[in-house]
Amino acid sequence: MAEQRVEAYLAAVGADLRLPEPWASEVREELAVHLTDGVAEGVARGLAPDEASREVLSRLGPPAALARSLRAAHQTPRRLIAGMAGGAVAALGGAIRGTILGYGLIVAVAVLVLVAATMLHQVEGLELGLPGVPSTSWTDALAASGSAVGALFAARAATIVSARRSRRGLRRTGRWWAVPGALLLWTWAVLGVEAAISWPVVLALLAIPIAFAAGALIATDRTGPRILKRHILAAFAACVVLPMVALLALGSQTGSVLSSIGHGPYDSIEALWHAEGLDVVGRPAPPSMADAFLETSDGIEGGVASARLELATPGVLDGWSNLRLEAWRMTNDDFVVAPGQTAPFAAAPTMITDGSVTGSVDVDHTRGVEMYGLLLTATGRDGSRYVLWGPNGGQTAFRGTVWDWLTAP
Amino acid sequence: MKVPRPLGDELQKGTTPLLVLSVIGEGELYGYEIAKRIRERSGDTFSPSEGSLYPALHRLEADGALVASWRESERGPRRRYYRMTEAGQRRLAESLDQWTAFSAGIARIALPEGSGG
Repeated sequence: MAEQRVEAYLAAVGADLRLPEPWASEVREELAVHLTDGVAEGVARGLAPDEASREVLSRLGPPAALARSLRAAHQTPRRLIAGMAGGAVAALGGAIRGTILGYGLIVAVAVLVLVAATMLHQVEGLELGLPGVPSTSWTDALAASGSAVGALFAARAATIVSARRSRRGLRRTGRWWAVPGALLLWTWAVLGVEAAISWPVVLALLAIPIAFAAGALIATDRTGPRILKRHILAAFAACVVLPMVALLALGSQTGSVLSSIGHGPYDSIEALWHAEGLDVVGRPAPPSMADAFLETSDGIEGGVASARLELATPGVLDGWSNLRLEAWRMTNDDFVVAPGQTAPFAAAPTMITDGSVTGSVDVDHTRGVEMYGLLLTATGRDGSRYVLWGPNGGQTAFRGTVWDWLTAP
Repeated sequence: MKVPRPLGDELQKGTTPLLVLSVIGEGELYGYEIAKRIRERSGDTFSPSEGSLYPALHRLEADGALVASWRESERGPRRRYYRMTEAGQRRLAESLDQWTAFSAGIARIALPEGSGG
C-alpha cells in the first residue's frame, strides 16, 4: 500500500513536470530516494510503513505544486536565453550542413534526370521539357531547393539545442521556432528574393518556410543512422559517378539526332507567314515597305527590350498609323509565335525621332515567357494591321519576387 | 520551555535557500540529509514543506551556487549529492548579511529596548 502510494505520487509529479530527458528521470529518481529514506526513517521511529509514507508525502506537499516549482527551478530565464542563443547558433550550423547536403542531393537527382532524359531522347526520340520554365530559372529553383533542405536542418538543430539548453519540451520548443521562423522565411522568400521566377522557383521558395516549420515540428532527440565515409563514397559513386559515365557514353551518340532538326524551305511568303504563326499578329508588309528601314538594332537590358529602326526616307511611313512595338510569346525551338497566342504580352507606342522609329517594352514581367519576339506593327490605309518589321528577340525570364509573379498578369 | 510554532509557508520559502546553503556549507549532502539537518537543527521550527527544498536546490544549482553529482551510496540506491561552489559561498555570505540586517531591523521595531521580550 505504502509502495503504491509513493508510486502514484511520483507518477503525478512526473505528469506535471514537463521537463525533457534526462532531467525528468533524474528528478523522479531523486524524489524516489527521498521518499524511500523518509519511509525508512518513519518505520525506524515505530510507524507502520503506510503511516510513514503518508507522513513523508505530506511533508513534500501536493504533487502538482511540487512539479510546478521544480519546473520553474529548471526553466529559468537565463536558461531560456541560453537556449535561444544556442538555438540560433545551431540553426546556422544546421543551415550550412543542410544546404550542402541539399545541393548534393539536387546534383545527384539532376544527373539522374539528365541520364534518363538522354536515354529517352536516344531510344524513343522523346524531348523532355517543362513549358513556361526558362532555362535560367532552373538555377534559381535548384538553389532554392537546396536552401529548403538547409532550412529543414536549421530548424531541427535549433529546436533540439534550444530544448536541451532551456530544459523545455521538444514539441513546445519546436512550436516556438516553427511559427516565427516560418513567418520570417515566408516574408523573405515571397517578398525579399528577386530572381528569375517561374513555377518551379515559386514552389522551391515556398518550400523554404514549410521545410523550416517541418524541421522544427518533427525534431526528435533520436540520432540518425551512423554515416560512415564508405557510405558517402558509395552514394557518390551511385548517384554521380556512374550516371556521369553513362551520360558521357550516351552523349557521344546524340550528335546525329540533334543535327537533323531544321526548317523550310517555303513556297511563298504566305506559307512562311503561316509557318511562323504571324497570321495572328498582322498581314505581311507590302513589297513597297521592303526597304523602308536602313539600319535596325534591337536588344534587351534590365528586362526592357527596345528597337531602333532608321527610316530610309522621311516620308516612308506616310499613310501608316498607330505604329506599335509588340512583344509576342515565341516558341523556344523554332522561334515562331507560340501556338494559342491572340495578343502580344506587352506592347508600346513608338516614337519617330531623328529619322528613326524607336520603342521599348517590358518583357520580364509576364509569367511563363521564355522567348520573346519583337515586332513593329502599324495600321495601313485599308484599316488592317501589318507587320513592318520583326520578329527579332531572344530569351527572357520573369524577374521579380514571388509576390510579383503571383500578382502578375 | 515554550516551543515556537513552525514558520509560515511564505517565510519558509524565502529562507529555504539560505538554510540550504548554510547546511551544505558544512559538507556534501544529499536532499534527504539536508532536510533532516534543517529540521533537527531548527528544533522543528523549520519543519518544512520539503516541497520547497528540491526546487530551491535545483534553482541554486541553475544559478551556479551548487553543483550536483550522482554517487553510489554505501547502502541503498545512488543519491544526488550537492556541493557548494565559490559563487555559493559568496551568496551565502551576502544572504547572511541581509538576514542579519533584516532580523535586527525587525527586532528594533517589534522588540524595543526595555520591552523585556
